[in-house]
Amino acid sequence: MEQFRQGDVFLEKVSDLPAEIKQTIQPTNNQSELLIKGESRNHGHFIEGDVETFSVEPTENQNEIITHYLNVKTESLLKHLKIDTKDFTKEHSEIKLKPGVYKVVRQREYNAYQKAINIVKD
Amino acid sequence: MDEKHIKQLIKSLENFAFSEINEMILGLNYDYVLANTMFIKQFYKQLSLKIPKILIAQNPEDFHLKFQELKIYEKPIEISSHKFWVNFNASPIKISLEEDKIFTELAKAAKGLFLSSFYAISQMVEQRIKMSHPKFIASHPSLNINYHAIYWLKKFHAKYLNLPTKNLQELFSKTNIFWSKTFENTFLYCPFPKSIHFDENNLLHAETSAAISWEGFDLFAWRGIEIPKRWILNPETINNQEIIGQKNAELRRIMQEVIGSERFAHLLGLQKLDEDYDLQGNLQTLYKTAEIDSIAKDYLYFARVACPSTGRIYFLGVPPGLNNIWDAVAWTFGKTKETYKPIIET
Repeated sequence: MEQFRQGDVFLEKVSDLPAEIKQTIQPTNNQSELLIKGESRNHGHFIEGDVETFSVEPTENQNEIITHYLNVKTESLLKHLKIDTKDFTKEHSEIKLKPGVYKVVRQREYNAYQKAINIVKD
Repeated sequence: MDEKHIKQLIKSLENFAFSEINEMILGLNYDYVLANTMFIKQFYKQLSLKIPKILIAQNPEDFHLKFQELKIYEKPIEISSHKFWVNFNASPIKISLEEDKIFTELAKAAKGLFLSSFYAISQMVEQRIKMSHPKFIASHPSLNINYHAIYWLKKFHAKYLNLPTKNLQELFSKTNIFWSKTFENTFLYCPFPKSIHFDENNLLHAETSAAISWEGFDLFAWRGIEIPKRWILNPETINNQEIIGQKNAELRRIMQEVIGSERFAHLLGLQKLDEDYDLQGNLQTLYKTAEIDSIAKDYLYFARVACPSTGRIYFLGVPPGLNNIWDAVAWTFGKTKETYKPIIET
């Protein structure tokens, strides 16, 4: 399935929403939604368009650290913006997402001292 | 103010970012000494004691020394928090029922929220003092933890809320007693630090300065753990010997964060395992350390990768045993080189 990457955020199209997500999580559907907030900077990855966003509590030490599922209804945009002004950061260009279901995965790294897998802090 | 409104306030407290605390301390320019004096006088009056001599310590260490000296002449009075609050509520400072109700609810919420951070600060300070004064006996936060909760709560109010709690606001928002000892004739206190820095997880943390500082007393901390001052002020002095000599895994990991994985890896000595150009034409390389790491009990593996848009270089830790850079990059997203196929990378 199609894959996209915007910096440390990775999106992959999936055939459908997992049943437990559909049953347990109430989606939000705003025209613009902050998906991932940069840890140390005023930057974030936003999804803009008619999209149902299912927020998942990310668990570290997983093979894929999933933070959201997106149900994109009409063509939408993944943007990298400044959180306060919503201006383009001039870092990662926007990515067009065709209708469909996507999972949002964070980049991870291995911590040899704790034998643990952590989300990469941006 | 109704139940719903109080619930909303508590909710807003839960989202309180400790990173704002510093701004609050610096943002309020009160005559703390005057306010503290008024508060102490009021406090002694409630205990039916005559107004004491007030002694101000510059910092927690000074507080400890002054306390040691004072207790030779005077016996400290133990004030239980319960007694204090009973006294306080019976005091001539008029608190309306409404004020009292709002305050009780908010203080309860604030206590849970702030408790761990107070203890984090106090414990770190205590540990440090014990290093130079082994006989130091931990002093509990001034009066009681409610006071601390309310202290921050009032700062929070002063900035965000306009509650009908003016009397208490007056009293608490302008005092800054961090630690205190009550004697019959003397009240000794140490004020709150001049600055405190927390990270986004409310852990003591500062990357370019002390995490807590008083006059003449600084503590440097990285995500809740005290670290040597030099790591922050002169990180270039961290060398291979110091990394290898550091037997505490937590501190060794912090060293890696402080100086960055790239320098950390170079100091350890690297062997190139594989390299290739990414889709943007940036060279990406898989490394492993020349020696087995004594704490991790294995070689450390790093992928040196470039951000697809900015070209900024990242050194990411990857699991041992990899031998292909594409596998390493794919691993960071939970994939293998066969299944990692982004059609767009920005």
